[in-house]
Amino acid sequence: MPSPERQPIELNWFLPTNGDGRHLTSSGLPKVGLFQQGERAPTLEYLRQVVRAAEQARFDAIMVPTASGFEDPWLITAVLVQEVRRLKFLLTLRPGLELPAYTAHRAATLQLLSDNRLALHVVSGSSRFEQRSLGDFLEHDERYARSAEFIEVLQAAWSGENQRHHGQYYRSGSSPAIAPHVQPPAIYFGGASSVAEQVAASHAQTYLMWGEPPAMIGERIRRMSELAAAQGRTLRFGLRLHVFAAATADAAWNHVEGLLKEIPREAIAQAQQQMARYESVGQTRQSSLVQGRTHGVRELEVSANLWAGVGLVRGGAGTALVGSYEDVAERIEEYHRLGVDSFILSGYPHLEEAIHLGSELLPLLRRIGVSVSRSKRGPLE
Amino acid sequence: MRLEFSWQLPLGNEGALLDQASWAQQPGEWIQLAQAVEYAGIDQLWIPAGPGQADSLGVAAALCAHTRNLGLTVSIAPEVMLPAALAATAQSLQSISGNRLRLHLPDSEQSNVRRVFGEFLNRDQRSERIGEYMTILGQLLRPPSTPSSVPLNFSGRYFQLENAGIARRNLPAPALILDDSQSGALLADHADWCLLRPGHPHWLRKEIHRLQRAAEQQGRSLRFACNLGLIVRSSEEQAWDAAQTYLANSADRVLATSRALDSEQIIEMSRQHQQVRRHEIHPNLWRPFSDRPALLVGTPRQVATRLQELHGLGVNHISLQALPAVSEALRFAEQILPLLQSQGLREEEDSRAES
Repeated sequence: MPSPERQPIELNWFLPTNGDGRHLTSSGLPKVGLFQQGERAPTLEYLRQVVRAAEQARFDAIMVPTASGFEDPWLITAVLVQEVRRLKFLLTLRPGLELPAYTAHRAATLQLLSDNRLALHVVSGSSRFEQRSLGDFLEHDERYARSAEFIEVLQAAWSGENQRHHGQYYRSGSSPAIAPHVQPPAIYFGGASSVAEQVAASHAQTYLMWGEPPAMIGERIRRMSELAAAQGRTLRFGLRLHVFAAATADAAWNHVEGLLKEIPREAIAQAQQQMARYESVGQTRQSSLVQGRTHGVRELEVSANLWAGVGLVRGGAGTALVGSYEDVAERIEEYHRLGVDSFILSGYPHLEEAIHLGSELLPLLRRIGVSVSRSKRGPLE
Repeated sequence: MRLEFSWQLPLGNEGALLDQASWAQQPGEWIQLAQAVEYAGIDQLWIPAGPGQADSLGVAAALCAHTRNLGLTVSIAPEVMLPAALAATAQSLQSISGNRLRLHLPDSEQSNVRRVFGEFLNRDQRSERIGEYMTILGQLLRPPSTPSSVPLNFSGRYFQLENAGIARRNLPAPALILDDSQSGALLADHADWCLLRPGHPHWLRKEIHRLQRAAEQQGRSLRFACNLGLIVRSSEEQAWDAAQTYLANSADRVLATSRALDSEQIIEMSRQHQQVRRHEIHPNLWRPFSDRPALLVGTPRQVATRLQELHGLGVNHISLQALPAVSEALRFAEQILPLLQSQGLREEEDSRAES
């Protein structure tokens, strides 16, 4: 249920901190070892160009991801906020690896460096395998309970109340002084399980979802709005999507058909096997979109212009908007009408596609009346 | 072995509240000092850690964009993040900085990290915890090409791991620095460097000998560093005048921020202004406060002589601080480093790889 006073749409880009390239396997995990030649390493020299392209394209923010083998998001953000003046950074973090009072301290340092351009994306964990390799042995539901407490301690660091915290997961001393007049970062939160929904409803400002057909997204927005309203809160909604857009629908579909054909069948089977172990409700929902479908390119179009082919080989966000610039703009507008205010987009490679979509898609979104937030205040400001 | 230097990045006085304007200026000041230190030919920048200061890891990363060769020694309290998370972060900082990192894990007994971030272990438990921490950190920082390393399973009293280190990259491990207040066994097992409290040369000689022996028994070698403040002027008289001013200012600041001293101690301190050299525990080595680093006070030649003496005792790294930082770093580089160079103390090591 979108609130009557809609915020302007927020369009964000994605920073490929474990490498980039032209193929469906180029970003994210698992990397199944294909197309290694010509792939781009996540060096500072490359990532700074992606950030600059996103700023020039007038994206609002760039999401900085985290996972084993990715460059550290705190460090990358500290370097790259200095490269640009307007672009905001949506930094992904996992509670459970560090103390929330320290996280507050790190966030304040980045606010200082960036002149308050930081927002935090709280992800409660990955697979059990990855969590345990980092020293975190909590199971799925408990991880969300800990995330809730983590966000509370984090935010208390800004409240100025010098209170000791004695919770289930954290016991902190007197909170460290945060730099004066540094703003608390907005909290984005992901997770599709029912325990995740409860924590998001009570603790998040923006609830993030991976791309699903509009009917499914609309249903989740209704449910989450009610959950939040029951706590006297309102939520914003965000959607993470890949984009393959071209001048004509045919050109876009031909392009993704080529990307799909170059992936060997056994690589798909191998990736699917790995993803089945993620124990993530969101992942299960993404995988279920392709279940029972053959792998023909249009067979994977699960609703108009929404293509689930990325999820055959990539964990996490597995859907893309495919079509002409007008098609893609219309779909974004449709999600916006359903209540989605924030979009986090990817395209391959992220440098060229930030420039490409910045010149072809973003102006279209402005022209068809979806006002891109430039002057009005959104949660990222 | 070569005598190397780092300069301490002042990140704000512990406990002292900075106003909005001083906070806003900080990033510009960090960059300015880092570039001055690199320009001056000082080997490293030492980035301290502490509550109420900017995050040392974030500051180090930010400075990678503004420096090329300057070594970055980063202090980070081992209480604030899991060892596997710190190992991954350290690898990322090695990659971003072009292998310029060293890590200092300060002893929480010596700082107020515990009070602020919260810690409920007694001394024995803390010692056991840091032992487990260093074991994990050390293994996960070793490049994956090292035999007997991947993957790491660990089941300790404080930390558990399953299949850790799979995503580890082939990067040189940063040198690890521990404080001399830790046990000799911990230092012998895990440290590449030991940070000594500066003291009288007799004490330093004994301490270095003791810790070196403990390390050798483990088949390892340990190098030694210490912190020193500098008050350097062209004449000895000017230097001690400056020391007196420093003492007066410090007394005011301590009075404003510390609850540790009672008013009688403050009065006593003021009385001692006239006898500033009472705190000179060895020629030019001045320690007016027992809980803060000692300072070298004197002319460039006197200070160079003392530094040479420390080197002779087995100290290979001296971390310096003086205010105003930029001008004092340049003064050190232009007036003292050449004297040490002429003594051969600054020769690059030929074969041995510096980590």
